[in-house]
Amino acid sequence: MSAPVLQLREVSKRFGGLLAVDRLSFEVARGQIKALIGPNGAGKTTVFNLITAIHEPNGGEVRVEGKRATGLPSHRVAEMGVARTFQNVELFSNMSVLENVMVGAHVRTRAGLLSASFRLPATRSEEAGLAAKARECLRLVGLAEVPPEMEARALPFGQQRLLEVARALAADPLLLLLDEPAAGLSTAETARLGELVKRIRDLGVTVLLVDHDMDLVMRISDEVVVLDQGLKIAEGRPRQVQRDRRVIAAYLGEESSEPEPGEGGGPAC
Amino acid sequence: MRVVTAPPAPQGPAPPRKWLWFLLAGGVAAALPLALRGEYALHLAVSIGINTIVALGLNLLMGYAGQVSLGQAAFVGIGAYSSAILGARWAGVHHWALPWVGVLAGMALAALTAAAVGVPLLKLRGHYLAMGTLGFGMIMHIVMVQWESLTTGTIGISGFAPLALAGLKLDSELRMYYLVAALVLLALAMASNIIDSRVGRAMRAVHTSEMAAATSGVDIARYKLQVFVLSGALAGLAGSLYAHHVGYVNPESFGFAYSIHLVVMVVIGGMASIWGAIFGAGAVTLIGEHLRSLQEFSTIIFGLVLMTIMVFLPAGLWRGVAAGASLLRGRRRGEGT
Repeated sequence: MSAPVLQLREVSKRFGGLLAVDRLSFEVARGQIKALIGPNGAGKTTVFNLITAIHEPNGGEVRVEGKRATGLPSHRVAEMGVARTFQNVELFSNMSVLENVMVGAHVRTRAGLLSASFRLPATRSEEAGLAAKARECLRLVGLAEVPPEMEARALPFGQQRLLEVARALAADPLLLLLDEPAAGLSTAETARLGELVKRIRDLGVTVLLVDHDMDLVMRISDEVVVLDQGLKIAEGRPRQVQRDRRVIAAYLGEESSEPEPGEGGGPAC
Repeated sequence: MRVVTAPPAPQGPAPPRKWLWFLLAGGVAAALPLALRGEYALHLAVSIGINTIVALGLNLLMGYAGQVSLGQAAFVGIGAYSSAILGARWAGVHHWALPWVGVLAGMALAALTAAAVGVPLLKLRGHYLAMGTLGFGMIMHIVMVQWESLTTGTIGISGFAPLALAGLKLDSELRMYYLVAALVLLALAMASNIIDSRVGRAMRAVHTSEMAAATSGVDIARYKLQVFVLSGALAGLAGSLYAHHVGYVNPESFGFAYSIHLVVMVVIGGMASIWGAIFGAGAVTLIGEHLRSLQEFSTIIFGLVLMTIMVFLPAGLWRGVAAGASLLRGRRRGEGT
């Protein structure tokens, strides 16, 4: 059990001539809240897509609890305990709020086509348990007041983000990836989100999050990884990272200070 | 939010009321023959029922899982030919269960074919999937015409025994009606159960966001294939019923035109609407029947009807009528206060 929940080893991803992620390595230890930050286009969402097998890396590997996840399809990575949300909310807009969360628990349920067709007793009790669990997840993220039969697309934007979190939690994940959960939220909503993320961590879920809201990131994260143009330029406790010269340079948009030999985008081919 | 174009959420009645709908539908189906005058009306009712079974399978595929098939007629043909060919071979043997073996063989063969072509075809998306399934349908039609040693080509096959339940021969329109009505209700109930299950939610999830479905643990390829095979099996069943209902099978019935009619049934009935399958199948079957005498003009009128429905009732007949009814009810309530 000593293996970290998530390990990236020398992971690279190239899109045509663009090296979006360049030999990136970092680990997320169990029970941590870790943040991945960086200017726009730094490759943060690409990292999430590499972890969840939406993209396949051109090099390196991703390990979940020491087991290789790279090369597996997305649904198998989900089965390993990785759940995520999306920067541009990806809800199942044709389903109810409750059903969205129930899909999240897909990996924790079994019913197949035949037992579902005839609503066999096992399926029926599974469904009942699932609905109860989904309501529990909705309550946890603060959507207890929303009518569960309401169409997901009818929710206000902030609640859609929370619904995505509830859907991800329904999988009982080991690792939760939050892609810009605070984007588009009000200050009050962001504050509540910070409390929610800490509560999720306290429930035993390891969290890796991407966000541009530095207040939020620095307040709740145990550790921060800073990316710039696909390269890791800093990693450490929030305070250390904030004082790092290269991080400041990257954020203030200065010419990236003293690039180390062998690093940097370079020609793609 | 990235709203992927999708039909409105299925307004499935809450589970406790669901069985009431089926009870009502069963009552209506049982009493309907009393209202239908003559063999011809019953014949049409059976045809509608058979088309409902195909449209229901296609609606699970298209309306719920979001995968188009323009080759669904091929599966109906496979079912029909299985029953006809086996039935004609066994013409000398008299046992009531034999035609049912043909029905099961038809379903199984249609399902197997769907599984075999589904693995490569379902890798395609959108228009490409439409073209792929269209090609499959055309190939199957050519096979039915050209493989004369098996299908007798354009001559067609007749002379196979009707379906029977023990001693009761289902050789009248009325008896066939009750068989088909029972099967339609069974198929509707199963489809309704599937939609409100883990499997159905996975299918609907694939429809709106494959990415979110996959990262939620849904094996996209597997569920696409499952629903494709299911729709193929339902089409195969309907094909076998068709063969025994009409007593004659010929490639003309399973061409491109029928595949298009099936898609129209789904659209008119309402995408992602279980009960809509009955309305869609009913409308298309009746329109087709009434326009038959107009020959080529029928295609024009058919197109006009389709356009009218799409413009004024884009969610389909069933939802359109339901929405209209609730509007009227609201207005009346409004007048009362």
